[in-house]
Amino acid sequence: MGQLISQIVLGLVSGALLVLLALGLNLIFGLLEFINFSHGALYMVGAYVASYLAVATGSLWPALLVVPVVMALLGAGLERTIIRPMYGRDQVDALLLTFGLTYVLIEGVRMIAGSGGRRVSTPELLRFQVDLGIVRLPAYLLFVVVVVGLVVAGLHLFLRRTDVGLIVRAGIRDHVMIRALGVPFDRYRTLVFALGVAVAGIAGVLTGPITGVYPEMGADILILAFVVVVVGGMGSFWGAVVAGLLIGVVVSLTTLYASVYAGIVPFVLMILVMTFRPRGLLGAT
Amino acid sequence: MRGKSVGVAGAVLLLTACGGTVAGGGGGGGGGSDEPVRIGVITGLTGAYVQLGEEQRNGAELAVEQLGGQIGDRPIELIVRDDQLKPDVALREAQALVQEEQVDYLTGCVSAATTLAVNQIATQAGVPYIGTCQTEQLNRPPNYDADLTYHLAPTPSQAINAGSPFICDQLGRSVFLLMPDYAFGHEQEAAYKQAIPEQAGCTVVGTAYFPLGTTDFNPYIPTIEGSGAEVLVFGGAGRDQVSFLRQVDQFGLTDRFRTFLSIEDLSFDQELGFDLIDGTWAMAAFYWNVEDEGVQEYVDAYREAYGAPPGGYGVYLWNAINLIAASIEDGAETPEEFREFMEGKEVSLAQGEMTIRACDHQALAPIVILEGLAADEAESRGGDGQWGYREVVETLPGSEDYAPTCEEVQTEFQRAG
Repeated sequence: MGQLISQIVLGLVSGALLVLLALGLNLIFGLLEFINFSHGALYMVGAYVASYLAVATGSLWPALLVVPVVMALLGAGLERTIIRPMYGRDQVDALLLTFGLTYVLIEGVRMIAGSGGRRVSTPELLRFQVDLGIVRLPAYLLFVVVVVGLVVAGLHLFLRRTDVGLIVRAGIRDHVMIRALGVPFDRYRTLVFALGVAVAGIAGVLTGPITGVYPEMGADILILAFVVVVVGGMGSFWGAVVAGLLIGVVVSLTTLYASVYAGIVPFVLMILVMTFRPRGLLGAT
Repeated sequence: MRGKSVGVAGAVLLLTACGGTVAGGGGGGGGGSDEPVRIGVITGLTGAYVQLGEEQRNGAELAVEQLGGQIGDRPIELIVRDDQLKPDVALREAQALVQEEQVDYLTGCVSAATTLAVNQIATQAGVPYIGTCQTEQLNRPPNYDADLTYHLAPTPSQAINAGSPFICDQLGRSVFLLMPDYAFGHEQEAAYKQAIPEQAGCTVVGTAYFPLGTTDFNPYIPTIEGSGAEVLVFGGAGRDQVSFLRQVDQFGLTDRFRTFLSIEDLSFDQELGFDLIDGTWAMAAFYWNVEDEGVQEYVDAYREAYGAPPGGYGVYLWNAINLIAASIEDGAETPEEFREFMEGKEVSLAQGEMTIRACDHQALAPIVILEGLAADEAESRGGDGQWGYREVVETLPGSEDYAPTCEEVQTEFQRAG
């Protein structure tokens, strides 16, 4: 029983990072109806920026503050230049554009930093384990869970409790009306895209000490993030949160009982959801 | 809208699955003469083992450069292709090398999954193939073609038979295996489960598999902790190894378990750093600071060419190209003559003393056991403060003792018809 609970706790921890990545992806899809295939590559860029900052400053902490800002600016720049012309066009166009952007970013990073990975150390302050009774967790993973929780809460409050969030949500329902009311809606679109990319950047910063940083790291995890988005319901904020945690737990439990199947269970779950509940667990009807 | 979204999601997943990275192929080489020696190299230049693939390309290119780009009067044309670690891509690239480039020899591989695909095309086309990654299957039926198939890397069982006495005598008598879920991992499991119990009082207390390319090892931690093992043997390489060691270190497992890596490479060590390597052990077919004249000549040349010591995978390609060159200089022009040259060959190359035994064309070369060092230990223990992540604590010369005997191999071939 103890091992089962440990496994569930570790699954929730693993799911937390997935939530963060899926949330950024879903934010952009849910509010802009834009499928950002380059989300994984942007997450990788965030991780690289963090790794260089960590070397320059001797600590990962400044990266946690600086990277979201840098990535938001990068996101805003991309939105204003190459993303904006895609609005209103077939979603396949957006998909192809960001597919191309993915490779530009990966190859660009390879050219600058090389094909090999970069080391990111766990912050000195968090190099210990916390005994929770049933399971001993690295303090760093607990810190990751806390940051993910704060980002989820912050994004929810931003979208639900601020005037900006209200305008963004209203614009999704009827952007013509919002514009007619004199609201410069394009700026809000830029803001949402930048926010989604900043969240990907935070995920990149947090991942560095767990897996290291390497050019293909976004491709590895993007597929799982998409599965989370589909299972949770495309565009559903809480769907991404629930599905990310659920997939973390399901993979973790499968690892305990039949480790060879751990890699395929997220996809089995996705097939089941798409067959029996195509709108996803918490997607809108 | 929603239906369309789901459709687009499907397209996204398809693109993601097909994606990965841009193929990084690219030709090399000489040309310019009527009869160049065309050597096709197929290796993983993208994917989880990209560093190993790049080392193989470097090893091959270095060998060609050292040979002055030619063997006798014949220029060497080296054509390097990326198999992306996928058997279907390896098959396609091998086909292209044989049919379009008309290569005379094929070599390279970093994954057991792709080497069989390349060997299949090579044997169909009558082109000698020199395998360079750890697998049991390449020179066993139904894959082995006595006229064309050669294997320079150790088989997993060779390495494991050599390393198991150290694991049991020096590290602990209860062993947990964490293996990658593809041919190489399954071969390792079988070999450990045979070799470990042969050591008195030593047992395998549990096994778990992880998919290739795993970044999250958290779910494996409770199983490992609950196994009661003293030794944790990890069979993965590349990014998997980097993620694994980072995470077990965060959980404090490397303090509580003796961690042994089935496969070591300097490129992984570089990503890990001294902090994570300290307190672990590993096994390798090559390590750059082994005291051997042949090894050190190769290391010096590699360092001069690429600015860093070589990892363990480039050496197979360097050896393969040099064996091809030596055979041609010896007058071998056809696959039959190459076979005559190779069978039973005793040679000292960049892996040290090596024999290519006649019965299955398997190289018998040394295996080294390595102890991970802390940064401050590296120099004080005679190593190198920048690259000396590990110290060679045991060198086991290439020997038939670690491989199935030729009689056993013959029996296996006869059984398979």
